[in-house]
Amino acid sequence: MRTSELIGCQVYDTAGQHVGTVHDLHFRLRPQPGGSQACQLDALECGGIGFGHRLGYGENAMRGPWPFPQLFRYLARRSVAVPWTEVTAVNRPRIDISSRRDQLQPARRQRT
Amino acid sequence: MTRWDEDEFTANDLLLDRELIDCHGMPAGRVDDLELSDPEPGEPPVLTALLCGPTAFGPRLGGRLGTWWQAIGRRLRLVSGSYPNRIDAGLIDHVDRLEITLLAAREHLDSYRFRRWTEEKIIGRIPGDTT
Repeated sequence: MRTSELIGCQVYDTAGQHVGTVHDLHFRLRPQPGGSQACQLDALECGGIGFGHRLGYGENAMRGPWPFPQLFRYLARRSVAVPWTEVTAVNRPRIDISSRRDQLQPARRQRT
Repeated sequence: MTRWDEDEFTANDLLLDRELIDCHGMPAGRVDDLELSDPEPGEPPVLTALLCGPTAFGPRLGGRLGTWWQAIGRRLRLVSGSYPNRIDAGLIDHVDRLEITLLAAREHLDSYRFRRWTEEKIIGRIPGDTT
């Protein structure tokens, strides 16, 4: 599997409602028995901020020019993190999950 | 063992589009895509390799432009070459927000093959070349 097969997919919740477009993948390091670390895919970040996020606006790292920071911050509020454990099917361009949209956490809150 | 600057990160924050630096400090390419393991039921996918070159970047671009980009890269690769250029995750030494340092020399990486061919066949033949 490649990240390009996941990024850009449309995510639908258990009720068939559109959750958003996958714009980033969240990874977490997990210690392995041999002392090494595995870089595991933890969650899919979905929402409408993909382009602004890649320009650095997603984490308030950019100050200007006006009105882009305000606009992308507004769009970022709607981004949610879909834990990989909730993913039930990946059939590009559609990903189905086993929870409802209102049960998902904001994408950036999960990272703190 | 790979040293990571952060325990949690996103692909765009730390991996995608980062410059690859070989063990001698020389540029060795750029990360265009990531390869993940096909997960067992109930297990998450794990990063297995960094992918480089037009055959990795084309699918990320998507659409007709991405298909063309990928087709160009496919025609420029060796028949025996990996598809796309693949750097195993075990070769990663250090990952930070600016670059990814590798344990191998760039001469041994698939991602450097086209650049070496360009240096030998084109740049090297230009009078005054110092490569």
